[in-house]
Amino acid sequence: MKPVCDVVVPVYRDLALTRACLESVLELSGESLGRLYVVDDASPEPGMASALSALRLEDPRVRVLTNPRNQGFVASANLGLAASQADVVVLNSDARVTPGWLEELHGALVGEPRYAALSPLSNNATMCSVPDFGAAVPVEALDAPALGLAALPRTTELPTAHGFCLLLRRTALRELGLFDPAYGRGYNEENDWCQRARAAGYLVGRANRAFVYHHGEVSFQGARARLDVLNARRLIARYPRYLQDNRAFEQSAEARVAARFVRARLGRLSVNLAPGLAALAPLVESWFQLVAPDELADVWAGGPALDPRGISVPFERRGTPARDAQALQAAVLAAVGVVPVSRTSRGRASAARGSPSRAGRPGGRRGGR
Amino acid sequence: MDERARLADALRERDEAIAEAARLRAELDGLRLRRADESDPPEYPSSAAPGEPPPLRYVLVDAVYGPLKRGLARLRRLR
Repeated sequence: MKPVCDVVVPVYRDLALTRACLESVLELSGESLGRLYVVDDASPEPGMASALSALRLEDPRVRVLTNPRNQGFVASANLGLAASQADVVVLNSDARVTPGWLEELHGALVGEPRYAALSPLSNNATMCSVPDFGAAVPVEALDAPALGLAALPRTTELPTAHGFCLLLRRTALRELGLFDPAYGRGYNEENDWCQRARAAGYLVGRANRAFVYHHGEVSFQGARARLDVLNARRLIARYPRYLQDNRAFEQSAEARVAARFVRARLGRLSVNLAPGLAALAPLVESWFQLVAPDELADVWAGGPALDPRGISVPFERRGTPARDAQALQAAVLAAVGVVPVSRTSRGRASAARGSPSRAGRPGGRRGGR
Repeated sequence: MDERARLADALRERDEAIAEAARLRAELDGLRLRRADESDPPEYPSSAAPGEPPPLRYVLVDAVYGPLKRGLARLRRLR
């Protein structure tokens, strides 16, 4: 029998987004979904309680747990986590899942026993964000099924996962405990849990082939900054290396593998310079600003998609004639005075001249497990 | 009361029972975490006053509790 996974969704505000989230989970999770625990944190929204009751009547997988008074995200998530007995995803109510998300996310966890926690890619999830690593784009900007994420390495190890959608291994939960109530109403409790897991020898990661949309900022709204600062202080006091680990990862080659891949799929260019040519980055950027301001995603130096001979321009322009892409590429090279180039197409590297290079391959296995 | 309303009530009661059991488990878990987060208790005093010999009961307790405490700290670090 296929292993199943539960989903916990604490709900508070925004009935429309919450309904969309729950319906997407029930509709798109397939056989991987065991139970959906909806934790009503004494929602002030008129109609929330009746909508949840109706959902419970319609679908036997739904359990509605109700807090008698508002207790915040941590207590609500913990209630759902304690009710479940299986591997479990904690999902924000402003998320919307995509076809096959749970099968892939849970499959990645089952396939690698060292992982205690995994988060999927998203449009708005810092280290799991695509197409811009660390930044958010609107939900409407991405069509997840068209991104072809199966070409990416299945997972990438992270210093911490993202709390908007966090799959937790049951055995790790039994060993490490739930989210720490010391984090009050929320923020950074997932980072704390991930650091506990890492300290116990587990890994934490990103499931690169699963995608979940995230609107962001529904439950906390303006209170985010204050909660974030207070809880961040607690987190850093407990784990002094936390920021250092995050910075080290952000500068690593594998951090942006998924973001670059998605950018390439969207038809934007990522220009990768050899370390010796890093000084040319401003020139390349200026050139693009002049001739094609919307084409350039980023310019960076020394990353994994590097052609040792000089410059590589991995990209795919869906729906655009190849000759345009080649002309653009040739113009970039002419502008920076560098001749050798490798170009990727549909995630596969091919050398424009000279020996074939595997560099510039956003879908490579680098950083994956 | 029609059948649908009876079913709704039964499901609500089932979920209330699940929530109650989960609440107890979560509370226990919180207590466990709080205990793990507590700093070590202060050192047991080994002398009554400066210059005085330590009372025998303190010496005895130290002989038992000292190694035990060090061993527990090592065990906790191993986890």
